[in-house]
Amino acid sequence: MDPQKVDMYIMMSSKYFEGYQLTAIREKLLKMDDSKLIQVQGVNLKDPTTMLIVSLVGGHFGIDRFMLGEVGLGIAKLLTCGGLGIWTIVDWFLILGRTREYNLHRILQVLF
Amino acid sequence: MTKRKLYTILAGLSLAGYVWLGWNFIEDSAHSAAPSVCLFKEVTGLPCPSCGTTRSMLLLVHGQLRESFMMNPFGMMLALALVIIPLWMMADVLRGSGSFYIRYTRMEYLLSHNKLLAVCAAAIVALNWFWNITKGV
Repeated sequence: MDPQKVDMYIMMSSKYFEGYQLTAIREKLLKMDDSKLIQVQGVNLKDPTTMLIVSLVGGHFGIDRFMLGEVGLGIAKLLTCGGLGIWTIVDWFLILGRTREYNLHRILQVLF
Repeated sequence: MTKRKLYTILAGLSLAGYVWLGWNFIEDSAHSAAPSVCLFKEVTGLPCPSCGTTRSMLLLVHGQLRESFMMNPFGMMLALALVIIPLWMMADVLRGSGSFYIRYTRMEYLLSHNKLLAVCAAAIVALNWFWNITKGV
């Protein structure tokens, strides 16, 4: 892929991933065919900041977990008053990393 | 999520559930001034969909089935889950199989891909929430 396009993509989507993951994603994109770019750009990634707001507001009902596709844990969180309130607070701090992990998982499905 | 991680999380949750229930059972604080751990209730004053499950489960332990259901139907569901899930996971670990993990991922897939099922589940939760608010749990 054209290095310029790859760098543009990396720059635009750097907030979705952990810093140390970006180099690996860049390397992978450089080796790929140009036609894959549309597919890569089309991946629906979740903004960690938005997820933090969701977690702050609706974390008590497990909505953050539902949105990240962890339906089972979401139900568990919903049915236990947000894990007795403790899990809710723990998730406020975990959700940023968890969202980036989810994004990496999504992009890897296209890259491989 | 890996099988190991899921089993660890669920084992921890089950253990926490039993500790919480045991503590409430010893205190017998079903109707006394038990500390409210529900953030939503503390902030808004309204009960959340799962408020009252502890009281419901304690009533269930005391054999008052009807009162338990009237307090919060989710209490019975959670009690069932608290009995079945740890036993199933233990059996899985002992036999080295992953039957619970397979079921769990299938359930997750169904709920996130079958819109009708998801809407029905959400409607049940919403109805229960409305019921909770009207009876003032």
